[in-house]
Amino acid sequence: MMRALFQTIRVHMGLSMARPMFQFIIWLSPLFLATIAIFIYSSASPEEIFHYVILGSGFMALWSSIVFSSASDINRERFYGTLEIIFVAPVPFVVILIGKIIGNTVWGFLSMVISFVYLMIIFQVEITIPNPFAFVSAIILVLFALIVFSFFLSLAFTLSRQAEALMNFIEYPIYLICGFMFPVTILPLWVQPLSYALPPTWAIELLRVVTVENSTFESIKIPLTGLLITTMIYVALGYSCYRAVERKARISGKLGVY
Amino acid sequence: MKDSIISVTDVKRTYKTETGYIKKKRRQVDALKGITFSVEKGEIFGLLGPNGAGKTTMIKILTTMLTPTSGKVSILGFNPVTEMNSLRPHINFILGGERNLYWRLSAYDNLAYFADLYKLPRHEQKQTIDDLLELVGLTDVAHQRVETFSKGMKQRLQIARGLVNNPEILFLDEPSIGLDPVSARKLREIIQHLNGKGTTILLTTHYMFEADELCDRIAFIDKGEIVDIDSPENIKQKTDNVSIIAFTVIGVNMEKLNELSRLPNVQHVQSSKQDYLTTIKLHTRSPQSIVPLIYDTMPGFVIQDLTITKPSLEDVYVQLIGGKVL
Repeated sequence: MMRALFQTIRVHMGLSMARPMFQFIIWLSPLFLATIAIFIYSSASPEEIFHYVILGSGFMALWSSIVFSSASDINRERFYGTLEIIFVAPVPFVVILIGKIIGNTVWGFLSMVISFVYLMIIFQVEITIPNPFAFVSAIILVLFALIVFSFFLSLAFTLSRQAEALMNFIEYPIYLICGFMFPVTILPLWVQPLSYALPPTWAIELLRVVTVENSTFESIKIPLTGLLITTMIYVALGYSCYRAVERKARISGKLGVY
Repeated sequence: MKDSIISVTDVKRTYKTETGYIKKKRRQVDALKGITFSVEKGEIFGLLGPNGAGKTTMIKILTTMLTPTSGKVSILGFNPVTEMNSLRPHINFILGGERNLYWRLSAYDNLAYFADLYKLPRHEQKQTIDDLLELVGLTDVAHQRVETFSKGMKQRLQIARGLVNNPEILFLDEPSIGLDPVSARKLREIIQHLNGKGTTILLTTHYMFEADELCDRIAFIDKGEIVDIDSPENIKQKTDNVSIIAFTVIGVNMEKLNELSRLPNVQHVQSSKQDYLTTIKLHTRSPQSIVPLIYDTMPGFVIQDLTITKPSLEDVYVQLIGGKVL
């Protein structure tokens, strides 16, 4: 099972990178996003630059890679004509799907790192991480949360053709709603509940809090709890969607219908 | 007596579809209306029928992709609806067409990945993949991307993919569709080779000569029901000493075809037109008496290539299921 998971990650990373659009998303898009962010925040304090330029543009790069990969992976397999084959393979479909999402997230993380390095080298932005252990732990948790969220999106977009049409349009709304480049608190009050219902909002907030000088567990507690709770909710939603996709496939017979 | 390893009893499958947003129209299509058959170990069994007959639906049920609406299915003693996890390692399937592969991977990488998905032990993988590539004649291009392959090569790679787990039963859904004659023949040789090694094969096809050459038994399926099921030889004999008079003419019209169908002892008339030539086939028990009548009915027409033959499987198929029949 683990071998199938690792092979899926490896194969899928290769397949994703063979797509010119995805190459642009991973290698070039973070440079544009980082450039826009640094120009907007050029006169801000180093802490604001770190929170809204480095983390913000890095997160936008990570999110773009998710939108243009994980969210449409099942439909892409359907287009290749391989969906039915992997669906009835002895390795559970859920393992294959998670392998694909992990592969995409690795690419997305690389895109985020490219954004960091670009800002450090070209714009001489300083990155200071007071507590590297807390930061690395938070990054691992954030990546896990995004894998869960991607899993949900991938299945939700498979269930509905109407939702599938939205897939290409959710890139920018999520930048805004989740506050990648500004605090969510400046958004209108009626938008904020939606922001807090999405794991990326808590994920970037957690990374901001753990990189504040003298951050304490008290300050980390709220975004950490928010991220854990929303992640658990999306685990449940993802599981429900998975069961629904499986049911739809085997009962309505629409697995291979593109 | 051989063992039945596939047993299908009174299987029905209904699809429900909806159209429209506000005023939804619901439609129910009965794809299978109570199918019963069994396949014996080591057999090549063919499911033949026109488009929309229910062949692919049947294959999907047998390969655990789809649940039947009612009825009982047993494959290798497993129920494909409730025991799919136990069944899947023992079977595999190949769909026609050139998709169903990762075109941006090499042939070798495709097989290695599917071998992992079928949990083939790593120490067996390399030898198995090398053997499969040799079987399908793709050893020389093993490390080329599939997108550079011809349709025939992709089809052969699909065969190799379907064999990565050395399945006891292989399901083939129109495997030779769109292949040139040489590739189609190579495919038939591979199927016969596999069967010789003991693999049970269930295939669907539109090509009657292919079914005639390969299958131990065939089932004609039409509108979700089995019309006949037997060996090709027995099915052909069921035409009750009917002979086929076939000939080609130029410029024949419907009225003339109607006249031919009214000749005494003519059971059936088929016609197919290609460019300006029309091939006409008359099914009759007394061909010698009909031939002069054909010439009498068609004065002024140049009748070419007139032959009298025993019915082929295709003729039987047309008689049982339809086609352009007058």
